Parts: sequence; structure tokens; C-alpha cells
Amino acid sequence: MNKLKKSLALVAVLAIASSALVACGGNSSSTADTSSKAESSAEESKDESSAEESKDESSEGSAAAELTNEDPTLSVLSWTDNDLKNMFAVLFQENSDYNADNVKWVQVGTGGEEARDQYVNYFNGGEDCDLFCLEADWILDYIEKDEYTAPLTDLGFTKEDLSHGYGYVTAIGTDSKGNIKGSSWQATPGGYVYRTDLAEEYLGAKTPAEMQEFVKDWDTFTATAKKLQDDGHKIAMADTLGGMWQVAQYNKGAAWVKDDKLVVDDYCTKYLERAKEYYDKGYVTQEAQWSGGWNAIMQDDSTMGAFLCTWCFGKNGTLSGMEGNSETPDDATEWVTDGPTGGKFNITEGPEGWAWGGTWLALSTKCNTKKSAHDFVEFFTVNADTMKKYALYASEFVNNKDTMKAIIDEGSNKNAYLGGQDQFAVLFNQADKIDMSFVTQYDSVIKGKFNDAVGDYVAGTYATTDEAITGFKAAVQADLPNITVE
Amino acid sequence: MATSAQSRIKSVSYAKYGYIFVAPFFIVYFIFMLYPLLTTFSLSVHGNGTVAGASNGDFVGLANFQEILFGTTKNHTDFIRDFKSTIIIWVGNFIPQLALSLLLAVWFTDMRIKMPGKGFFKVVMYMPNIITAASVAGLFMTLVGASKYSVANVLFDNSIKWLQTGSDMPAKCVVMFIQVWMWFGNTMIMLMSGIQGINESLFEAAEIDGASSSQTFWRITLPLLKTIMVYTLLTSMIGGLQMFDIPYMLTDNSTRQLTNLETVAIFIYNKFHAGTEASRLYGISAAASVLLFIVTAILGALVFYVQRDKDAIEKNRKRKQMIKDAKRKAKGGGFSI
Amino acid sequence: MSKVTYDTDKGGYQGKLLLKSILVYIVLIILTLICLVPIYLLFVQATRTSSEAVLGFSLVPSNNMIANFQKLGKAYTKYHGLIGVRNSLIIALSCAGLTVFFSGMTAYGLVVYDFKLKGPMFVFILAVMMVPTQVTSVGFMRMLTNMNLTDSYIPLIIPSIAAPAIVFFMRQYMLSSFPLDIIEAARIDGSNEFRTFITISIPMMKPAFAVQAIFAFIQKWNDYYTQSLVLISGNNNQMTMPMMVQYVLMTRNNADYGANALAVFISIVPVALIYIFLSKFIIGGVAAGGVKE
Repeated sequence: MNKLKKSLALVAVLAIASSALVACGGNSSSTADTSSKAESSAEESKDESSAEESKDESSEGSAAAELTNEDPTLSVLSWTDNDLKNMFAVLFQENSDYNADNVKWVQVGTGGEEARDQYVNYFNGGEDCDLFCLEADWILDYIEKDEYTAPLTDLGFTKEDLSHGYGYVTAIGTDSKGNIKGSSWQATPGGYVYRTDLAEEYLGAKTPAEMQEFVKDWDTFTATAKKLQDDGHKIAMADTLGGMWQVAQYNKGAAWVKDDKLVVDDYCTKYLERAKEYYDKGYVTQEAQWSGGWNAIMQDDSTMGAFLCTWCFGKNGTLSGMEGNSETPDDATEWVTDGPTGGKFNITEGPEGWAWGGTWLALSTKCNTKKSAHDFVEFFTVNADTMKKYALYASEFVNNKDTMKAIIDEGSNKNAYLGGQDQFAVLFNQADKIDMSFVTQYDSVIKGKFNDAVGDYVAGTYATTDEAITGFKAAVQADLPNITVE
Repeated sequence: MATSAQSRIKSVSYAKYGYIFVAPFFIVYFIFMLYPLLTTFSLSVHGNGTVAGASNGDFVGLANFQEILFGTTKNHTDFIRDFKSTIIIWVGNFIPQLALSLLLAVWFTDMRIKMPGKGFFKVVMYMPNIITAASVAGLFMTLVGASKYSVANVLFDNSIKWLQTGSDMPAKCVVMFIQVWMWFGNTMIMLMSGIQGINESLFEAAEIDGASSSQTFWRITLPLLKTIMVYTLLTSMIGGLQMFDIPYMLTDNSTRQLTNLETVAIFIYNKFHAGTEASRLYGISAAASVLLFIVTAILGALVFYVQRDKDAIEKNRKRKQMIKDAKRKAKGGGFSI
Repeated sequence: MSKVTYDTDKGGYQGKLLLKSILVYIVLIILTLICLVPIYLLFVQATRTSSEAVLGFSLVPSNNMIANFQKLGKAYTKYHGLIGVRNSLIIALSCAGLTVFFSGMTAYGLVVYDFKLKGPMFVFILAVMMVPTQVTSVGFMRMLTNMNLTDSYIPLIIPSIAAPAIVFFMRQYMLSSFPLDIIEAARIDGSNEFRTFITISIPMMKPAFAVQAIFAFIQKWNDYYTQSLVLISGNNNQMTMPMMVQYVLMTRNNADYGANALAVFISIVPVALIYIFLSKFIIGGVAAGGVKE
């Protein structure tokens, strides 16, 4: 009996919330405000409606009120629980309707590339499949296919609801027919994270602003690397070729494929040359990203810094591992920084503005828990209030400029892994400039092949940049026969 | 030897049991493996396909084979390179593995060598074989991984690039070593069972005649181990040509496999996942596996031929001998059984 | 006369043997170290913190194993060592059982009976033994999807009924060491064919069954590839040991390399224990029969 009342009340709440949202679409800057108002009014009505009048309210429901759950569990497909773990923690904390029993993440494959293949099998296999997590590199594989993904407007959102975030995020989530099919909780600008103690000792840089002077563009960056070596310090400026590549691939400035033709420009050659120089001279380490060695070089004083982006700084995130910290419990307010380099980093903009990937939520056409799916997408990508809560809980850069501005102005984000620095303030301007319009569906393949070529070039398998580029082109041609390679 | 009564019973009244006994195998095989197999053959003569779809791409005849074997694209050069790598890695692990296993098997079965703790050694040496390939790869990544702190890199002071980008022979040696490490105990036990199958009186006789260990080995053990060695060779060859998991998983988290560790099976796997969701290189992938199948089949048949032929000759010789004996007996005494 | 020569030679002969024994021991000890040291180093890594683990190796265990254990349980949401072991055991044991029973049966059928299709069937089995497993996965997945068999153990277990390589081994074994007269005798005693197979030939084939059961068990225990294809949803309760190991090793977020080593180590321990307990039987079983020349 109690349960029934509760669920009726919930329907009512949703009805109000969504009608409020639908009603005040249009001016996007005001929507965030209103939606949060709607949310808080909904909170109130939830209390009231636990009495009797819940039926009346539900009758005035709109699109969202019709959303129902045909199955108790919301299944979110992902290849990793990196973000989802923190997201779920916040969701369960803030919304008592959801818990580990009715919101589940389904691990598909063990890496992004594997998930990309296996989603299809999973989808066709008759399992519960409500929301997909899609990576920027291959999101087009899915959102361009109507048999797998449905527009998020099917959940009762308007296009305006889904577009108060950063423009590039919405743009990537929009398919060629103009439907918004992917919505992200994050924006992913990146910077240069460096060791404050080493920077002060070797370079005399006491603040991020002073450090930025040493790394403000690539020439300066190289000069600083050289200076460190000339001074007799055995230290690399950059962490891995992988990190340098992430900066470079964003700044290529043009799509890899245009009119079905592979575009290989000067930037590729320039990057190859820089990679070789850095590798040979020890300006970058020879470790691989995401390996144990990567963590090691961030702890053994052999590396000044690394190229990382917003999703690396989250609670128990990548940076924490690199510092060697132990796990911070879900309910702890103080983050644990007990690693050898715990909290010894700061972030600065680095030589070039850049952004790194991102993950989008997309609605499966097989979704049978539309209500929960609606709530989930709303919580993380539409509702400014809850997004703010998430941003502060996980220290993650959320996809809402006003929210981020508010947090920076309040100064309420102090990232313990970055020694209490607010990384949002450093990356805020860059976030605004992100342009990913050059993403194509071939990117992950092409980038992989290019990285292979870079690896072979720095290792000496290719003698010249021309050879490396030729090898790269041949590899692309072999795997993507539909693309013209000249 | 079967009497005529036996063969009559066998051939006449029991034939249907033959079918009944082999039926489960064939039913399950047809359901679970033949369809995938036929799909592979069919894919090998088609163009690119989609992941889920029924679409196999257009019929292209033998173009995929043409491209892999004689083409000008990287699919050709990669396939050839991977084929060479596969052979190098297989030979490089099979020969030392067989030699080591044979040596150990002879020692373990040599009654003359007093060996307390024999059981312990056997147990330990078989141990690596029970560890999952994923774990073995994980284990060896801490030992010889690309990190400058991995055991091998510390021991060799980072002077040899074991599994770093661009590494060739050292990386292959790592795989060979792991394969030997995983499989020598297994092969040893197989060979031991073979040696123990040899009539002990032969060894006793040799000992009494004062044959040295090496004489016993070359003159008695080795020739009589032929069947089991052929079996070992065959299974190892099939496994070796299709080697996948260790070289595939022997990689750092983010980096792809070292190109010099790519085997044909990895080529197949990679092409199977190559391209975009809308257009996978299934044709190339399937053609490569058909080629691999053909190569394996030819080599397998060759091994069989060599072995079977000798057996047949042997049998033939024996039969002739028997006929001769029987004739002689018939002539001489005129009695029969 | 030769007996006498043998006796006079005995001293030098014994000396030679002693020398040889020492040599053999040295080699065996080296090999033992090669087999065990990697596993020991892994154990040591498993007792260290993440930063100790990435910053080099040691021969002395550290004291972080319990913390690593807790971390495995908590931070690696999908990792449940016991469930993984249980699932892998279910799959590997049923596969081993089915494989040896049905392969033995098939081989028995091929050896004992004469029937028209016997030759072609054997050639067929030989031929399919050489099919590479990797690419049949396209067709395999399509079929599973059509039959709605993904995320089920059926496609992992049932196909082991048809194991060409093991049929081949069993056939060779029977040909070389199985006395067909016994079957004849059983028939005369009025035993029916299946009873003869089960009560007479299986006990006689025990060594071959034991060896192949172990091989099949290990193969399935190790089979990450097929398992990850079939169990696509990575359902906690279904994931097998290799899948969990791979999951832990591939976790990028805040990866703890001490905990990673522990996960790998834990995946080794149960089989190692089972193996050590059964080793006498296993290796003895292999040795007891043996394939005759």
C-alpha cells in the first residue's frame, strides 16, 4: 500500500517537473534556473502528495508522466565503472527512489574499443539494455543508427532541455537528422599537470601562473625541457607520447576524413618530428599511458608533469592512482592523499588548449525503463542543481557553463589531488573554446594507426617522417577500404 | 588379431551402434560449429560486412585471397609478416620445449637415477600450465613489461627493449619463453606416458647388455616414442599456428600489441574488428582464416602421411611375413589352428 | 658371462650415475626456480601498495596484502574472486566431463564398429581439428544471437561434446592399447553395447580419460576468448575467473597495481591447490597407462 502511494507520488512529482520544463523552454540561460525551481517545488509536492491528492496531480501529467518502467532495473551499459561509480553514489544519495538494486551498470567488454563491438551483440542478445555510454571516438557508430538508439526527446525532454550544456557536447550528440541522441554530463578540457615541488626547486615557479610561463607554447615547453636537462636534472617534461598525442590530435584543426578522403596535413609531420625529438632527448618518458610505469614516473621524481583532462581529477580518479593514493571511501568528505606524490600537483593551461574525449549517454531503442532512464539523464545532464551536486562530489567538470561559473565564483571546489587547487577555474575558458566538429566515425581507427606509426617512427622502424606517413596511409587504406588515400 | 567370427559380428550386426556412438559428436558439431565454420567460408568470398547484420557484403570471388596473398595493400604485407612471426615463434618455442621435455621425461623414467622428490619436481613443472593465459600475461607484464621498473628491465638495466615499442626479436623471445614455460611440463608428461608404455624388458635388456644412457635413448626410447611424438608435434603445430592469447594479451593496458608479435590469429582477429561498425573487414579476416586452415591441414596431412605410411609399410611387412610363415607351416607340418 | 663384466664395472658405473644424478638435480632445481620464482614475485607484488608495486620489485613481501584484498572487493566493483572461481569451476568441470565421456564414446564408435561412413567421418574429424577458432566467432556470435543464447553457459559447455582433437587422441589410444577381444567376450556374456562401453572400456581407458580430462579442464579454465564473447553482459554472477582478471588488469581508473597483482595471484591459487592435492592422482594416472608404441 505504502509502495503504491509512493510511486503515485513520484509520478506526480515528475509530471510537475516535466511540465514545468516543457513550459519554460526557449531562453536557454533561464532554463537552468527554472528547472531547478521546478525541481525544488517538486520536492515540496512530494512531501504533500504522500497524503491523498496524488491522483489529481498525476491526471494533469504530460509526456513524462506517461513514462513507465516495465522492468524494475535500469541497465546502463558501459565498458568501465570509472565515472559511473561516483555518479551512482551521488544519485543514490540524492534520490532515495534509486539504489543499487534498480540502477545497474553493465560491463560490456573491458575497454572502449571492445565495448564498441560488443554493444551490438549485447543489444541483439535480448538482454536488458536501457542506456549506452558512448565514447567520442565512436559515438557516431551508434547515434547514426536508428535501430540502436532513439532520440532523447522520446524521454520527454525538449531539445532545449538537452542543450544548455557546452555547444560542442550537444553538437556531437546530435545525429545527421538533427535528433539529439547523446547527452553528456561532462565537458573535457585538458591542461598540463605538474609537480609543484619540482617546479619550484628546478624552475623557481611558485604558482601555476608562473609555471604557465615555462610551458606557454611548444617552443617554450621544449626550451624548458632542454634547460632542465642542461641543468643536469634527469627529468622529463612530458609524461608519455600518449599524453602528448592527446593534445596534438585535438589541435590538428581539421577532420581526419573529408569527403571520404584521408587528410594528412603538416600537423602530422610536425607532431612526428616533435615526438621523435622528445623521445630521443628524454623530454618525454618511454612509458605507456595507463600502465604501471605511467604511475611510477609520476611518483619517482623523474617527470615534471603530465597532460591530463577534467575526468582525470575526479574522486578516486586517474590522478589519484598516479599519485599512489589509497582509496577514498564513498562517504568520506576528505579525500585521501597518502601517496608518495599525493597532492603535490597543480594544473596550468599548458602549451595548447585541448580536450580529450568524453562520454555520452544514449537511449537504447529497447529501453523498457523509460522513467528511470529519464530520471538518470535528467539528473546528470539536464538538472543544474543535481549536476552541481555531482560536480562538487566528484570534482568533475560538468556540462553546464552556469553551474561551473557558480562553483568557481563560490570557490567551493578544492581538489585535494591538486593540492587544493580549483581546476575548474583553470579550465573554464578552455571549455568554452572546445570545438569537436571535426570528429568523424573513422577517428578511432585512424588515430590508432597514426599512433602505431608514431611508435614505429620513434623506435626507429621508420627512418623518416615520410616513411612513417606512407606506412600510416597504407595502414588506414587496408582497414578502411572505403576511404580514398592519396 | 580379429578372427573371422569377430569381423563378421562387427561388420554385420553392430554397424548401427557405430552410428549411435558417434551421433552426439556430430549432432553437437553440426549445431554449434559447422554453421560458424560455413559462415567463415562464405564470408571469405564476400566483401565487407556489418557486425549484426545478415549482410555479408557483395560476392567477390577469390578477391580477398588475391589481396592477402599477392595484393599490394598492407593487408598483404601484414599477413606475410604475421605468418613469418607465427612460424618463428612456434619453431622457437617448439624445439626447445620438445628437447627439454624429452630430456626430463627420459630422466624421470630412468630407473637407474635415484631421484628422491621426483614427484615434487613433476608437480612443479606442470604448474605453469594450469594458470590462465590472462594471468600469465599479467604475471609476465610485471616481469618483462615495458615499464623501466619491471624485473627484466631492472636486471638488464634497461639495455634491452623487451616489450617496448618497436621491439622485435626480444619480444618474440619473451613469447617463446612464456610458451615453453607454460607447456614444457605438459609435453613432458605426455612423453613420459609414452616412455612408460615401452616394454620395460627392452630397457632391462639394454642395461644388461651395457648400453649407455645415450645409446638406450637413441636406439630404443626415441624410435618407440614415434607415435606420441607425432601426436605432440601435431597438436603443438595446430596450437602454434593458431597462437593467440599470450601475444595478444602481452601488452600494456593502452598500447596495442607490438606489431612484431602479431600472429596470424591476431591478424584475423584484428581484421575482424577493423574498420567501422558499418563496414568490417570480414572478408579479409575470413579469407585469412581459410588460408590458415589450409596451411594447417596440409602440414597436418604431411605429418600424418609420414607417420601413417611407415606404419602401413610395417604392417604390410608383418602380414607378408605371417603369410610366409603360415605357408611354410602349412607346407612343413600341415596343421593349422 | 656378461653378468660378470657388469659386476666388475660396477664401481665406475655407480660413480658415473652419481655424477649424472647431481647434474640432473642441478638442472631440475634451476627449472623449479624458473617455474616458481615468477609466481613468488607475483605474490610479493600482491603484498605491496600500488606505488611500491610500480616502483620496482622485491623478494621480501610487504604488508599491504589485506588492504589490497579490501580494495579488490570494494574498488573493483566487478571483481568477486569466489564467484569467478565458482563459475570457472562449473564451466571447466562440466566441459571436462562431457568432453572425455563423449570423445571416448565417439572414439569407441570409430574403433570398435565397422560402418560405411566410418572412414569419411574420421577424415572429417581430422579436418575440423585444424579449423582456427578465432574467426568462426563471427558465425558463432550470429548464431548465438539468433538462438538467444548469449549470456548463457550452454554455448560454453555443450560444444565441448564435440572435441575433434580429443576424439583423435582417444582413437589413437584405443587403437594402440585397447584389446578388442574383451568386447567380444562381453558380447558373448550378453552385455549390451552401452554397458560394455561404460563398465568395461571406460575403466580400461582411465589413463587416457584422466589426461584428457585434465587438459580439457585447463583449456576451459583458461578460455578467456570464448567466454568473453558469449557472456557479453559481464553479469557479476556469470563472470568467470579469466574475465575478472582481465577486468581488473584493464581497469584504468585509479588502478592499484598491488591489488592487480593480488587478483592475478588469487586466480592462480585455487587451481594450484586443487592441482597439488590431485597431482599424485593426475600424474600417476598419466603414468599408469601411457600410450603404447
